[in-house]
Amino acid sequence: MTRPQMIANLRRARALARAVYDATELPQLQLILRHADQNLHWALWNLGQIDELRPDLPGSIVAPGAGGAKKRAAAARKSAPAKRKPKRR
Amino acid sequence: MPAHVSLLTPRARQAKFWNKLTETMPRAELDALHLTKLRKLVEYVYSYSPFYRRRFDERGLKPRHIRSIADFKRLVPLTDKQDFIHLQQQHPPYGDTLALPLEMVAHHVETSGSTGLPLAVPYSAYDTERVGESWTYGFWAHGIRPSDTFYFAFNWGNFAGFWSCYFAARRMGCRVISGGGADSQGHIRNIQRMKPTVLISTPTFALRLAEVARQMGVELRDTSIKYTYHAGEPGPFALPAMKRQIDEAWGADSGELLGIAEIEAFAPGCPERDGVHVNEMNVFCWSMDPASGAECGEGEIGENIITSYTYSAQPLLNYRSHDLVRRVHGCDCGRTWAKFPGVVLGRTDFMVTVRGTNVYQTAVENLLGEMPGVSPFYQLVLERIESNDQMMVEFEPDPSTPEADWHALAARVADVIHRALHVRLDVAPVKPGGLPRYDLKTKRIIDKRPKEFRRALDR
Repeated sequence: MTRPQMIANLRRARALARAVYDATELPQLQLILRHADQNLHWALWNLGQIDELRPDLPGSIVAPGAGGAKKRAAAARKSAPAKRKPKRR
Repeated sequence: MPAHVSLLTPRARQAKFWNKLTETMPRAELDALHLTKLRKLVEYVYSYSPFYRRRFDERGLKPRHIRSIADFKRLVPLTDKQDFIHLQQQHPPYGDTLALPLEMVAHHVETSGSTGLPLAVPYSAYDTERVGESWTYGFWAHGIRPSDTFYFAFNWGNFAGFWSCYFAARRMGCRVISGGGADSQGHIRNIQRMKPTVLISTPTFALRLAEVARQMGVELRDTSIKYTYHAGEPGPFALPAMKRQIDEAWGADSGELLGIAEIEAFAPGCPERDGVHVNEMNVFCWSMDPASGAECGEGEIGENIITSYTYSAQPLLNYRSHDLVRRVHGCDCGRTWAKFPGVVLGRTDFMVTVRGTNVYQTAVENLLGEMPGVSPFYQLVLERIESNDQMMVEFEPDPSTPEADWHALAARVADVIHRALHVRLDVAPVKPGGLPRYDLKTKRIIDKRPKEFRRALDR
């Protein structure tokens, strides 16, 4: 996998995690996902991809207020790999 | 445990670097990344830190004015520990230096207070994830792997000390054993019983443990320790004699990291074992002539001015470390990150001028460490006599040195210092065991000069 592909996948992972964060009301799940997002942000940073200083700042691709839950969910759907037909067992 | 469970793939386990991409990144690419990060940091502090907004507004400085690294060095005001201590004293615990809401502060630590009052250091949860990363670069280069076990000869108080090291050991997936609450004999018994492979301590405490082990009849070379790693004071990569003494006492490879409690554990040891590299993913450093304020060129000794990208709760920009370093680029180890050979060469406040000669603390320490018959326990006493700074070297002779030979030994030490540093210092032997012992930072400098002759922070 190339570095740009790694970066694209990590960004997609952040958007997916954020969509779940927005969808759940479980504090436990929200804090787990917040932690996950910090680590994904750190992974991007250490690939030389500096989007913002902290993952939760306005302007972040997944920051609160950066576009609304529906918009983010749509972005996550858009960036997700195409659905495949489940394999038969 | 299932044999197939492993933290790393076989190829990752064989890697020479913790992150080859960033550790060997070409200088131009590193500098481009620095500029991006510095501009984002300036925007961040201007938006969220009342302290920085005030400092910037006083100068008419706006984030858009920072268009180059040179702009950042020239326009962003220098900061110093006393600025923050002053504000924290006015409005405890953090003054208006916080850039995040208090509820986002996940961990509170403090500096040791060795230069006066301790400085409170707030970490956000994300900061605790990031500040340990410099240690991991050093550990990996030193040969430490996730299968290793860390023993912390550290008391886990509020002192910033080795907390970042603990975060790093967790990051690497290593087993962690706390030595909290144990005395020196207890540490040695814990090591014998729990069989850790990595000792974490200050360098002088590693030697102190060796001294106690000898008294207990324990041979440390026979214990499970394979590596020792140190911070907090001049260690094995700053003082070759210290490296030899620790390696011999423990039968292990010693390593060193340079950190500043209120900023970051920012410079992991070089695999060449003669200095440290600046972790350029986490911090930005440049060197300044402390007298003129001018930037120092490559290879020149200057004060390390440091900016952290990863302390987001209480950001420190263009922070005066008061550490004197010689900054170079290019290293046989393959890292492109800036290197400080010999780590910290002295402090701006402890670069005393004795009879017209600049004397650095570490220069004297290096010579003492090489002297046969001199133990690792010594201190340098500064006094002001007839308008001049004077330095007295007090040392404990090795216990095997007969008392009748102590003064001849002191004369030899004075002679070696004179020939190497071109200055005559007074040297006095002290009865073995007569100088104080320290679990954490060893106090090597006893400054008896009147307050007006010391830097403001040390008064």
